[in-house]
Amino acid sequence: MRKSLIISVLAVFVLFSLSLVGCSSKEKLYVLNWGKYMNPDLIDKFETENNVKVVYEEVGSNEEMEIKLKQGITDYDIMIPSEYMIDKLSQEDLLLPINYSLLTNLEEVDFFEDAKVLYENEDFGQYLIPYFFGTVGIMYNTSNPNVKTALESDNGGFCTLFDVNNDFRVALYDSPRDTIGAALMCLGYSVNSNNDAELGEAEDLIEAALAKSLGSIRFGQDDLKGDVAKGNLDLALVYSGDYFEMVFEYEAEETDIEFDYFAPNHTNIWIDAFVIPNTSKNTDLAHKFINFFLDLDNAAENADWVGYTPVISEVYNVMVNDYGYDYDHYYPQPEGSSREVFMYLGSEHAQKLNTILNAVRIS
Amino acid sequence: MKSLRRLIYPYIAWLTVLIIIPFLFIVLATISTFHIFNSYTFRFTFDSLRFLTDPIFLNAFKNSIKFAGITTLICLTVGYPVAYFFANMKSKNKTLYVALLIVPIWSNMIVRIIAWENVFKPVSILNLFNLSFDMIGSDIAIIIAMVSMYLPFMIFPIYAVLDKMDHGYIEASRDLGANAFQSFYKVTLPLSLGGIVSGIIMTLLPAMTAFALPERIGGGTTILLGNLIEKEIFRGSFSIAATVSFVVMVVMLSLFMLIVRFDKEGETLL
Amino acid sequence: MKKNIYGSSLQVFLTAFTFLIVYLPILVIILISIHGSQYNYDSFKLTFKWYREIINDQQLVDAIIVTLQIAVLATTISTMLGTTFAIGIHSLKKKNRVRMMVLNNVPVVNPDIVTGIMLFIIFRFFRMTFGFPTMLLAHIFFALPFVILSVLPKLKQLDSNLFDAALDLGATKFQAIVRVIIPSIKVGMIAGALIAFTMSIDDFIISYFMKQGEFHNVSTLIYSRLAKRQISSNVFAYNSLVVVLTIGMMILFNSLNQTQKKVRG
Repeated sequence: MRKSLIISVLAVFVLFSLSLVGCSSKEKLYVLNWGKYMNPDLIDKFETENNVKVVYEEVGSNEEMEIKLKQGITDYDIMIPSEYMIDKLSQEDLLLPINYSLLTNLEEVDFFEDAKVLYENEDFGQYLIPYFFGTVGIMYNTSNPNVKTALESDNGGFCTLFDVNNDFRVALYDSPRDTIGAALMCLGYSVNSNNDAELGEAEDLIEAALAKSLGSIRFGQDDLKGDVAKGNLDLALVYSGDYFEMVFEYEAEETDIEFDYFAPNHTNIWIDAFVIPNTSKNTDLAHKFINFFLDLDNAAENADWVGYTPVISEVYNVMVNDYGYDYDHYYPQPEGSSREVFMYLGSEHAQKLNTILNAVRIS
Repeated sequence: MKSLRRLIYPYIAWLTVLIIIPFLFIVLATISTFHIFNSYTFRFTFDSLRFLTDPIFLNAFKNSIKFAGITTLICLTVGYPVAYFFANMKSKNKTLYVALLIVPIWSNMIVRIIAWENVFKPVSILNLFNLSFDMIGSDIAIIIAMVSMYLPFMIFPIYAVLDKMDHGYIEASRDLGANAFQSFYKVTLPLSLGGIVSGIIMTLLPAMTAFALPERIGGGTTILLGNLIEKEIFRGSFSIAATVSFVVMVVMLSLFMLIVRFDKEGETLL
Repeated sequence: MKKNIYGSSLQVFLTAFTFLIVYLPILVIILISIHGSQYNYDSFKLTFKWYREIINDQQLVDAIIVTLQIAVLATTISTMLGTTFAIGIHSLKKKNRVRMMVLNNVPVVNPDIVTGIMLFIIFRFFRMTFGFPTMLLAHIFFALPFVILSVLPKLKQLDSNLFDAALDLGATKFQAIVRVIIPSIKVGMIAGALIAFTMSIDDFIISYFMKQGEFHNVSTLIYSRLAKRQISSNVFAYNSLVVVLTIGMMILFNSLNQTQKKVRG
């Protein structure tokens, strides 16, 4: 008796679970984005307003986004990669040009200079609408005053990360472009350098830093911002948004903030933008989605949730004045600073970068 | 029971489709530009094979052997006596006690890795007890975490074998004049060899190809074979990932065949 | 005949050490799940809010349901199929049986990431729907060998004459299997089922390659959250619940077993 009871319970469970694999008859929009990069309430609002279902997938890197697109399992309608990846995908003819006439909100909108330049870029500007941007910088813990001094000194900035003479606990981002970019910037070269001599110098710099005997150094990604904030690290290479994310979380928890962000005078700026890949089966709906986020109210609500700096200057003003975002470093284009954007220089260059970051870790 | 042979035909088909065919694809990817993506231009190339002489690969291989080897050794040295202890226990609840070792495995591996990560950093939950460790990235940290993950896998098979071993053999050996050490070495050890072999396989092989653990607890500075494959798939070349995968598969299978030869009783896995 | 392997006090020490090192992460997980702050460890703030947060996190709840559904289905199917195949393998001559077992053990010794890639390649080739179907098939794939490995030894201990005797007495092959073989190998089946369930619950990298869209199991969800945001402590709360519930069930089961034994006298 007991056996048949167990079997029937299992059978019901099986039937029940199979029935949950249902499907809706609404139109679907497939979106691929970074994690925690879009307000879910706004996605729900879009779904309701247009009576569609948004299938929302998250990844952690541009390369992962590229892989998912090319795997062909899902026919994505919208992706939000970074500028160099957009460059690459456009070169490979995987993107559809934006139909500006469908974006009615576009006229009301004024992009910041850095984003506008991308948007007006000859080669691939026609495939994108800017979404958020930010800079690469250094987050540091304020409990050790020597760190700030070192960062602001002549040989400071990015070079502080690779300096073997300080005893700081340092961490680098486990992303070839960002770490090698920081090394190149420390040496005074362009982040897009494809010069073997310059890349060799950068490799030596990183390798020497990894071998340093004072303090410590390691790689990480998501954990870096938390560790600097907590005090497990003195400084780390991060994205500007990482810093804000920690600020917001600490404010929410009402824990004391003992960390700060150092924005070097010359740094790399990244811009993430909407693109419509050629796998899209519903380009009209995709354009509606982009248009939805160009609406100033929606964009403000989104910027408040995401925390990164909005690319639209009107929205920026709303954030600072109405939402209380009166933070240092929130303004992305400080006077006197210069910012460089990554470019895609071909797969050989990308492979070179990947090899360098692997080679420096040979023990 | 020979007539029941036909039962395995579906299984042979299943294994062929899910192992042999993909394996051929991987071999193909090793010597050409074959990809899991939709778009690429196909041509034969042996570039990826050259990677096998690259210091990056050799270093990862060395690291895998080093960490997995040390971990397995520790697990064996600690695990055997523990399995022995449980097997000889005269308590009614001994199965329960052994089963308690399985429970941590049911909690998500990634969360356990994050827990170790937390502990190895100076600012950690252990600060509540005035304890603080600054070991992240060190070899010792990786080994401690690995032992923590794999000890139960070593203990279980050894316990299973020791538990059902007939104590009569030991008694007979003692009766015949052997001392404790001789009885163990000549009777218990050989009889439990099957369990030891299973334990080693369940520890050494997964440890060699782990990637989440060395990545997070090694502070990203220690690269094992698993990390290398993962990095190549997501950031590098699929062909290289396939090459390394192929080599790893061959090595694992060879190690397995080698280790199993020690089990003359035919208890393990065959 | 208390035989000393390293001496019994050392055995006790090593056993204690084992429990310590294996359970330390669990204790840490539980601690984090009841501590109020995710960033400040100066003083302990007891809280159960993370446990309440589990319900609010719809993604996590969905992922938990998926994990359980797949684990139960994969375990059931692989236990039934695995037992069937094990019986078949057992009936082979030694040479064929060895060949069969080599193939059977490939999923066991193969690194997860390689298995993940291989299954992805073949499922992609057949244009399968990624998500529940592929994840389920993948979990059955790596669970089957373990079930077979658990059942085979029990089959070896079986008296082969029993099966023939049952046939002689008029049973069909199916009846003979179900009534004669299965009861004797039940322990092996249960052990195999347990292993299958454990492997399925915790699998990460293979499941990663088997999913698409919003479909997640708990492991892939946690790992993907790791990618661009901090992990919230409600995940730790969920894990603590799993551990505590499992231990509770095991103790309960064990004491029920004991009372049964007592009753039987």
